Amino acid sequence: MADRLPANPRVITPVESIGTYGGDLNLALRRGDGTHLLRLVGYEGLFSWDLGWKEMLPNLAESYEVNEDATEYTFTLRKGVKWSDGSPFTTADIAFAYNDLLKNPDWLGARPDYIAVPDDTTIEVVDDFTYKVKLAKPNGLYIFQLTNVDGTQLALFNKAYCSQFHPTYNPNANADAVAAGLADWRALFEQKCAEMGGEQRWMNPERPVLEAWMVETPPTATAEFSIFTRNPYYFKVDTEGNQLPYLDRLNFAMSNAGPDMILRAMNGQVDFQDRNINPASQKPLYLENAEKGGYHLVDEVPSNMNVMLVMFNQTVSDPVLQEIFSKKDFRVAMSLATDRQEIIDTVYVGQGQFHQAAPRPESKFYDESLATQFTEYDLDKANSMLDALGLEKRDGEGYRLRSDGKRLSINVETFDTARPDWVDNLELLKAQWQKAGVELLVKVVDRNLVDEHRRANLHEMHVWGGDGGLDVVAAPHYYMVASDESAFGVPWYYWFNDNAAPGAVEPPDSVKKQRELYDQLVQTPTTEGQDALMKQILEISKDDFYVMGISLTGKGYAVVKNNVHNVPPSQPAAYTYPTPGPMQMAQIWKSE
Amino acid sequence: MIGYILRRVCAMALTFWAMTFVAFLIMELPPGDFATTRVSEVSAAGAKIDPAMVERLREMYHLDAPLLERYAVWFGGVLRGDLGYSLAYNTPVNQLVASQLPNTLLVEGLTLLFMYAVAIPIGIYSAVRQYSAGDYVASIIGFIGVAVPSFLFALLLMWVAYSSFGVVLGGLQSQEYQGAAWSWGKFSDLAAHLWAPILVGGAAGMASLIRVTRANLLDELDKPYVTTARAKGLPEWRLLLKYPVRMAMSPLVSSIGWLLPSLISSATVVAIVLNMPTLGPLLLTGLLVQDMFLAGGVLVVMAILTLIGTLISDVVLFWLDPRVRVSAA
Repeated sequence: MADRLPANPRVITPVESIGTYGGDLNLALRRGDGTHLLRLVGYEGLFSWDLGWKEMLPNLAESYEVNEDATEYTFTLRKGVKWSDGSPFTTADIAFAYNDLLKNPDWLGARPDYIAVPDDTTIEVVDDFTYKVKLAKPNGLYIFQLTNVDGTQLALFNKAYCSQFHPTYNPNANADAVAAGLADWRALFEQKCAEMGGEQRWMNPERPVLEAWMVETPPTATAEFSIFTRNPYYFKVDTEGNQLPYLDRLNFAMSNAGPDMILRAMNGQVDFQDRNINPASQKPLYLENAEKGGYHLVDEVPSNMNVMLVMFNQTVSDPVLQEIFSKKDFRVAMSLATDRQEIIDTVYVGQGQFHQAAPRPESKFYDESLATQFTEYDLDKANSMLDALGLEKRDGEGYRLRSDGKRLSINVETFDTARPDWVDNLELLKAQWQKAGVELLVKVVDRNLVDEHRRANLHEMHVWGGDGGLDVVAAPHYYMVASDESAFGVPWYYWFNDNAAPGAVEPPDSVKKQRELYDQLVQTPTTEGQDALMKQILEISKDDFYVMGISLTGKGYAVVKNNVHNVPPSQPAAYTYPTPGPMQMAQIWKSE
Repeated sequence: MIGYILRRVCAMALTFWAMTFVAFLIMELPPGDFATTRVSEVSAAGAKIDPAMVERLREMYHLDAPLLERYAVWFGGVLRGDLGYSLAYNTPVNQLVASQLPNTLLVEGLTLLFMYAVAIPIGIYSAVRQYSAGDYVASIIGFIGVAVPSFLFALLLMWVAYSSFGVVLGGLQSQEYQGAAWSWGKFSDLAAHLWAPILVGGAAGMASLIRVTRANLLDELDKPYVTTARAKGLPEWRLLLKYPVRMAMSPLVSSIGWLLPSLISSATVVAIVLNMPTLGPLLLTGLLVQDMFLAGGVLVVMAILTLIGTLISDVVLFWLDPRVRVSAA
């Protein structure tokens, strides 16, 4: 066994108990849901989060050093980590990922935030287990970004295997792809060595991996079951030195996301799962059948902070509307005219808590006044504030008139496929805001169109879920202008990227100030320094009140069979912290 | 007869081309394309998106070519028997269809047989014994069958199976038989999975079949030729089956053509609910993610089934109904 383990294996402390070997874990997998597998099996990067989402622990890396201005990082890998085919994992694999894929403009995969501008990163291999990364601009969040799920993109490609499909190493790569009936090498590379996201990555059983289990039967479009088996070279041990994983196999019953998945879980045929089977509406039924099915439920605290955020586009092309939206009093009045209790009672069966766009109570950035300001329902105050804004004239139907004599009406587009609750919320908002003399016109369209209109700044108002409730620093786009999802000022975001770009608009000073603070944060190497800057950004967002929220997203749950051990009673749920990956599936075990 | 079939086949070729063209156009209607759907899926999962990714995908899959050009390339492949390459699954569509088509034909064929075997005798019975207690029972069951959407029936069946028997319905096989050679065990496992989709699929179609058979037969029963045959002393059941039932079958036979594709498309929702490894879910995925080749491939197969079904019904009608023979000649 010593040959199969590295000299310094990663030691995992089991959540409750040292396990016994053997057994199959049964799960249900929605067809096409590669993200589920990424979270369960695929979270093996250079670093990993601890269970509390506080510490960044070395995983495939053993240690790192950083220079003072956060522009040069030196990494040391664990010596003797092996791929599932027994070949060593070295800096050659990392260099291949950087130089031949991430920095190669032809490659189809995504460039994560730690390499957003590929040319700004250079990598220098020192020896088989040491390499340096040099950054053109300081990045104090580099290790943080590598610890997030996107960090796995770097430790995913076995150079010896994957390079045979790459034209730099195989001059016939294009010809091979065409012979296989594909467009060019990129398509064949995607088939054999796909990137971390998506389901394609799990379709090739030949590909060497570093994960606890290897694909045996791929989760194809037509398979009814997908099976993963133990990787004999997995680089982790428990506190008594037993090599992990404890479980021999993972069995996934494939489904079209129909009711069969939920019934399977209630029938005790799913050992552990927190995805696709656990809508909030089914929780009472799960509790009712827990004894019969031999399972219990554990909590998951979502990173999401709001069931629905409302953003008025302050850069909308209609100049009159733009002037109205850019006044804080207007946004405050609309928040006061919103009867959140009615929405919570009608749409969320009474489950919820008034909440603006603000970090969750579980977060170290929680600020009660930011979370609850203007959440009270006060129609009289809202009406007098709107009157004071020069919107006191009304038409025959009681709607307010804008300064150009037109009715004050706001268009919003949404879709009903993934989030039917948004449509319900908007219908309620429409009736509530009518009492304040503001007309809301709700249009249900295709999701693609919502995205396209937002990116093209064609929207007047936008609604979305609330990222950044726990991962405040990683997803700050509802507290400041940080991506094109900051739908209250998408052209401002474009201006930050390139102030001469078509469609870019210069943002107001407070928005610029936040951006400066965030740039400073990115260059700060310590967490304490970063946190202090983030708090200043949140203060400005409290003053400016760009984004209005409805209700705090409730806790989710996972279904755990009673004979499955080492699942903690509560864990965070997010994408950057890819639940349940950081819990370490390899330390889960099953008793008879 | 041969000339009749030849004429039908020529018309089929033209119909086939028209079907593929219209299908392709309709698939093009929704905003966006496979690249944008893929990107919004990835970002919905929470991942950060590189905006250049849309362009890279579009360029590689030739999604930026004009509509007619893409149609021509695709249809050229279809004529050579190549349904293209599924963008969503990175697999040739032929392979996906080949793996699901036998399941589909098995389930739908058995459903069809089940429907006919149960509905026609009941229809005959309720026509001959019009307004009897049995007719009322058959009518009530028939109307319930028409009124209850099949996906709801499937859900109810699944819930009853779970809550009363602790059985989860779904799929076509158990894990231990996936990829195994055929054996008695595998066969009985398949049978244990098959009854639910057959029952659900059959129940919906059965009801209307009962009503149609009953109505058609009632029209025939009073005709003079029935009285004549009865006067000649033919035994009642033999008389029924030889003359009026045969006439009453014509409208049913002529509907075989559209029965096959409607079974497949109406079965799509049921197949999703019951998690069946059939063509329906592939079609839905193809349409949802705007994988034109996957959706188009399934639609081509359905078009071919429709055309074959129509041909069968034409030929059977030709044989069954002398009036068709006269007008065709």
